[in-house]
Amino acid sequence: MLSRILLDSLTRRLSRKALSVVAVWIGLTLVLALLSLSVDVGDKMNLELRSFGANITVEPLASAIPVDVGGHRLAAEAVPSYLDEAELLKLKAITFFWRNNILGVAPRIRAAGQAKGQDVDLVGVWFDQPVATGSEPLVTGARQVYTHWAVQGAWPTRAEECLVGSAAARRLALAPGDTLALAVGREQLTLKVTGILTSGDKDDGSIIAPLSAVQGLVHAPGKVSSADVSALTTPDNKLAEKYRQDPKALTPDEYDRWYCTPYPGAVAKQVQELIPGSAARVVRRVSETQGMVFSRTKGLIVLLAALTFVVCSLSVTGILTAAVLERRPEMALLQAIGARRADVLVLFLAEMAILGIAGGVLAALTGPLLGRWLVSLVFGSTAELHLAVVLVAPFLGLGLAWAGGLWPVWQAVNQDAAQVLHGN
Amino acid sequence: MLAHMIRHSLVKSARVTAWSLATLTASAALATIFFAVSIDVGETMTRSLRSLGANAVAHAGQRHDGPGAPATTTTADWERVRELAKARRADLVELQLRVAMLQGAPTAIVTADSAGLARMTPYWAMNGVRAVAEDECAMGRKLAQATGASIGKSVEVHFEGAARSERYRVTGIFDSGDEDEGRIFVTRAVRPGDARFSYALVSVPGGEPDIDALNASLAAGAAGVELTPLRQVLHGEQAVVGKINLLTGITLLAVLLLSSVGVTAAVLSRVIERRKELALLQAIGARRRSVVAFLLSEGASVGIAAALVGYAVGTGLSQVIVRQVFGVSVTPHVAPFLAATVVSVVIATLAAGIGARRALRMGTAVLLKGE
Repeated sequence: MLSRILLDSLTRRLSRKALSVVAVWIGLTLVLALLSLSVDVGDKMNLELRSFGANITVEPLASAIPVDVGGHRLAAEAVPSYLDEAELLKLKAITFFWRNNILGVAPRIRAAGQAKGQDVDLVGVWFDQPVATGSEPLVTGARQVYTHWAVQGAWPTRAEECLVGSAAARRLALAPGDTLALAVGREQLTLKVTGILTSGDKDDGSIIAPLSAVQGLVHAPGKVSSADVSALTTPDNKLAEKYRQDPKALTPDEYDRWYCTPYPGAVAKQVQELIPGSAARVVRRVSETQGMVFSRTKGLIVLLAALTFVVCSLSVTGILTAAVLERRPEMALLQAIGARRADVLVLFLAEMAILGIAGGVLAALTGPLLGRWLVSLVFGSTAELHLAVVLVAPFLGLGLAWAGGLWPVWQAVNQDAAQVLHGN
Repeated sequence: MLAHMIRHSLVKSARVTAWSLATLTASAALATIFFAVSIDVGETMTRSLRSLGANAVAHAGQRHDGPGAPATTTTADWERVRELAKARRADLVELQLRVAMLQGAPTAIVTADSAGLARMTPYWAMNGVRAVAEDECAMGRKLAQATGASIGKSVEVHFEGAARSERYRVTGIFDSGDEDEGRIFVTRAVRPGDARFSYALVSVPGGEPDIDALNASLAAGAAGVELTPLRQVLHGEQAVVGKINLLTGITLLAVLLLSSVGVTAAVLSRVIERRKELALLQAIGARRRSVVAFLLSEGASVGIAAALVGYAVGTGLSQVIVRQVFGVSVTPHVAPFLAATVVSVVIATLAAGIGARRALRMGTAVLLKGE
C-alpha cells in the first residue's frame, strides 16, 4: 500500500520532483568537488611549497666559516674543503628512505677569480642536470631548485656559457651576449654571458658557470663545496621541537616516530648520514615560512569546505522546504481519509530519501569530476579519484534531504487537516 | 498605506517571516564571511607571514663612477633610513659587524639590539636564550661546533689593533641554516669607527612591490642604502598566495551561486504560501501592479533587515575566523556589505518578483476556492 502511494506520488508532478533532485545534485556536486579538493590540497599545496626552493644545505663537516656579509668578503677564506659530487646522487637512490621527498639538488663549487682586472666570486652549479634515479628520469639543478632566480636573457645550456649576477654585471659592465675572460690562479677560461641573474642574495655579486667548468678551473674534478637540497617536508611540531632541544630526551618510540616523519630536521639528519663527511643544516627561514604557509593554508581550506557545506545545506533545505510547503493540502487529504500522522511522515520522508539519494548518486558522478577540474585549474596537476568521496555522496544526499524536509513535514502533519483543506 | 500593509503582513505571518529572515540572514552572514576572508586573503597571508621576521636586508649602496670602474661603497645615513622606513610602516633593526679572532680564526661579531633582533629572526631555533646583557652572546651552531663552545661557557675574542680581548658568556646556541650560523651576536655597543660593516634587517609590510617602493624612497631620500629583498622567501610566498587567491575566488563564486539559489527558494516559498492572501487583495480591487509592488517592497524590507543583521554577524565571525586561521585581524571592507546586500536584498526582491508572477498567473477565483 505504502509503496504504491509512494510510487504514485513520485510519478506525479515530475517537474517538481526533478527540481528537488537537481537542487540536491547541484549543491552536493559543489560540496563533493570542494571535498575532493580538500583531500588533495594538503599534498598539492605541499608540492607548491617547492617554489620556496632549497630548505636544506649540505656542506663538508670541516668546512671553514666564511666571514662575509651582503656579498662583501671581510676576511680571507681558509683552505677550501669539498664533498664528492657522486655522493649527492645517493639522495635519489632507491636505498634512501626519503628519495621521493627530495625534489631537487643543486651542488655548488666556489672559487675566487679575476675578470677585467677585478676580483670576482665564481660559483659552479648544475643548471639542468639529468640524474639517474633508478625509477624515473630526473633533471635537477639551479633551474629547478632556485625557482626565485630571475634571469634576464637566457639560461646557459652549454659548458662555455654563464650567468652574471646583477651586481657583478653592473660592476664589470657586462650584458647578455658579452664574452668574459676569467682567471683562477694560472687557469684561464672564456665564457659567454647568456643572462643577468637577480637572486636577492650573494649570488648577485657572482659569476655563475657550469659546475664542471669551475671544477676544472680549481683542479677539483668531481668535487663540490656545498649542495642546496629542496625537500618535501612536514612542519615541525612538539616532537620535532623536543628532539631539537635535546635528542636524548626522546623515548625509543618517539625517536622512531621522529625519524620516520619528514620533519626538516629528520630529513637533514638522514641526508647527513647518507653523505660521508657532510653536515646537513635546515635553512630555517625557509622551512619556518613553509610550515606557516602550510598550516595557514590547511586551516583556510577546511574553513572554505565547512562554510560551503553550510551554505549548500541551507540552500537545499530552502528548496526542499518550499517543495513540502506546497504539498500541505495533499498531506491533509491523506490524514482526512484515515492515514495516521506516522504514515504520512514515513511516506514523505521515504519520498525525500529517494529524491535525496538520486541527487546524491548524480552528484557522486559529477562532484569528483568537478573536483579534478578544480585541482587542475588551481594547481595545474591531475588529482586522483577518491572512492570515499564517491561512496559518501548518496548518504550525504539522504542526510541533506531529510535535514531539509523533516521540519516542514513535521509542521505540516501537525496542522489541522480541516483548516489546511479549507485553504487557510 | 503600503508601509502599513507590509508591517501588518510581516507581523501576521510571523512564523514565515521569521523563517525567511533567518534564511536570508544566514545567507547574508555567510556571504559576508566569504567576502571578508577571500577579498584580501593574499594580504592577510602576507601580513601573517611577517611574524616570521625580516623580508629584506639593507646595506650601504655601491656607487659606480663609470662602466667597468671599481665600485665605491656609499656612506649610509641610518637616521634617514629609519625615518623613511617608519614612514612606510617597516620595522628595521640595525646590525654592526666587526671581525675578531676566535681561536686563531677570523669570526664575525655582530652587535644588535636584543629585542629587535628577536623580532627579525624569530625562525632561529634557539637552545638556551638570546643574549641580553653586555657580557652575553648568542652563537650560531656551526661556529659553536667548530670552536667547541657550549652554553654557559665563555669565549674570548680579540680585535685587531685593540689593547685587550673581549669576553662573552654564551647564553644560547641557535640553528638558522644560513650565514648567521657562523657568527656571534652580542648587545655590547660598538665604539664609533670600530664597526667594519653596518647593515639592517627590515620587515616591510606587503611583498616585493612594497620593498621596491621603500627602496625607491631610500634612493630618492639619498639615504646611501640599498634594500635587497629576500627573494627566495618572497617568491615562495607569492606563488602560494596566487594559488590561494584562485582557490578562494572559485569557492566564493560557488557559495554566492548556492546562496542565491537558497534565498530564491526561501522567498518563493513565502510568496507561494500566501497565494490566497494575494488573490484576496485582487478580489477586493487591488491592481496587479499594486500587488507586485507590495510583494517586491515586502521582499526588499526583509532583505534589508537580513543584510544588516547578516553583515554584523558575518563581520564578527570573520574576525574570529581570520584571527584563528591567520593570527591577524581582518581589515573591514565595503565589499562584504555589498555582497550581503546583493545576496539578501537584490536576490530576495528578484525572487519575490518571480513569485508574484507565478502567483498572479493563477486565477483569483481558483485560488480563493483553495484549489
